[in-house]
Amino acid sequence: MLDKVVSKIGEKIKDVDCQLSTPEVGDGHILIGVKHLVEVVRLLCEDIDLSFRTLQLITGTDRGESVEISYLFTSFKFKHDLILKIVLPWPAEGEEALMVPTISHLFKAADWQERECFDMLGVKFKNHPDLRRLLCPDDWTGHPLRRDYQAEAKYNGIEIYPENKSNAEDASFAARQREAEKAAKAKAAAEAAAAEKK
Amino acid sequence: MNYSVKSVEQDESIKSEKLIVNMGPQHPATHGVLRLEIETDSEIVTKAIPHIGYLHRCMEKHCESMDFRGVIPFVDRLDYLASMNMEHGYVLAVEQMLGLEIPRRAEYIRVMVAELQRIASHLVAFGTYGIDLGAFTPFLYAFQQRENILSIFESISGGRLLYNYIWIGGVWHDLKSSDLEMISNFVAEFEEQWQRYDTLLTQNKIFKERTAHVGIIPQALCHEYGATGPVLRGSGISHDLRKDKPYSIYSELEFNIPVGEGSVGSVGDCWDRYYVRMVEMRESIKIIKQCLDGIEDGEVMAKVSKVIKPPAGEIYVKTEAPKGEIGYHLISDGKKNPYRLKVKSPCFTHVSMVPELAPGMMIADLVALIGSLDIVLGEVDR
Repeated sequence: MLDKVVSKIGEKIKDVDCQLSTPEVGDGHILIGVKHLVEVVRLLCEDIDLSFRTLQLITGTDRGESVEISYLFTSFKFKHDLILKIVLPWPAEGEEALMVPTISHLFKAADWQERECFDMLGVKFKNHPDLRRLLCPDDWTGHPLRRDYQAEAKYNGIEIYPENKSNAEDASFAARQREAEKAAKAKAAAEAAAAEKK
Repeated sequence: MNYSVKSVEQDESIKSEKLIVNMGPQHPATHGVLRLEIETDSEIVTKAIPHIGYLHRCMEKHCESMDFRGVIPFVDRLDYLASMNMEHGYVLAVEQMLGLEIPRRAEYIRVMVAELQRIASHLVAFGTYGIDLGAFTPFLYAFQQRENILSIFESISGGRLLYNYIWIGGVWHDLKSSDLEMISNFVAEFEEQWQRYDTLLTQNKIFKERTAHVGIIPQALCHEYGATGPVLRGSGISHDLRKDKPYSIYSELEFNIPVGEGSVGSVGDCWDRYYVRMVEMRESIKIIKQCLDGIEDGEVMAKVSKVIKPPAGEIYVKTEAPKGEIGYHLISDGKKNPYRLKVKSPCFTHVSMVPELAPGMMIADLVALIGSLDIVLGEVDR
């Protein structure tokens, strides 16, 4: 099914950057360039042979160096799914925020999904009609699903992890556990080294 | 004495003005902590803006630091009225990544508990919908039967609301013979109870007046927003993953997919969505009966390695939960915890439809609409 979609995209859109990936485990996906995103999505939605009329979800994943956005489409007519992907590098410091063209004019479902993606990852969607935070409060700082996210110590003057409410016993137990693990690892390494010397 | 009353148009001191009302976050009709900011013109809603996130726990972030087994209690807390269905979907995703073969007995048990949970969830939907519209009695009867289901779950898993029962590779414990007896007793007496619910609410004149022709969702809108479950079927589209993309052992079972037909009002109105749920309960009973007859002896747990490390890759698995399709987009990088787990929540989709549907409705009808969507905020906010 996926190669049919890829050949269709190649046929209809000129100079499109489109890669097919079909791994042995799990679902395959189609990776396209950001430039052609809106065109490709419009084709998927409007072509009679494809008819991906429903957008299920938009998943944003922080891959460290880059951000990967997966769009999941479903065709009720042919009963199949498609994962479409774009990958973008995070902007360097001082550069403007990441911009991805919106598809909310093609799919109404994209409206809230894009808002969530913006809220959780800080990816901005160009021309989105109402790009506000969705799950976090409006005055929240940071984007929780980024790998380097650190929760603020205070929010509106309220301490987020107050000491008197944390379970000291639990924390000390976890710390002991970690130390024991570390010691066991060091011991094993030392033993291995000793065995090698012999 | 002059008794003539000045008409409203003549009196210039009376004028209409838009009023903004906050419905929720603490409002019985919003089924949890949903806040609807509604702009009203007298009693007509002209605009509705849902504000969600009051129950946001950032579960997707937490899952990234859990191992694959540790995620199961977290998915339990998504739709806390249908925890078994939530577990079932997640566990299927991990198993498909691992390529695990599940023992037949475990599959039967899974389907049985999932269908029992579906009935329990629909009973809450049915009962609370009555309360939303001013009928308190059905709620009490619904909870009586739900209690029986919870007792069964308590007996098999130890929990009454959050179970952690369906595990990767099978189920936690085998069913005892007393559990099977409890289930068959429940199945035997449910039909009679169902008839009682039906007389209490379904054909009640006031109830029909409140729900027929109210909150009609057109089919095209369902597709545009990606609505699923009873909302989609209520609009007359026969789509159920248990039939259309069967997982587990659903392909071997016989049951029907009820769809809204507009028998009281028009297709896709609140009554249709309500009635789809009612008929679905009976279909679930049919499925449980077949499982009770067909259940095989044997193991309930496949051999799974101690540390679960699915190969790098991704998968999207969706299953039919009581409220709609619950989908898990699982991305693994070959390590012992998920790299990314995104949950496609049906209720999230349904709440996002409210701004489109609400304008032009009476405030009281908005309550009927939200009740008929049957949302659980634990799943919307995640």
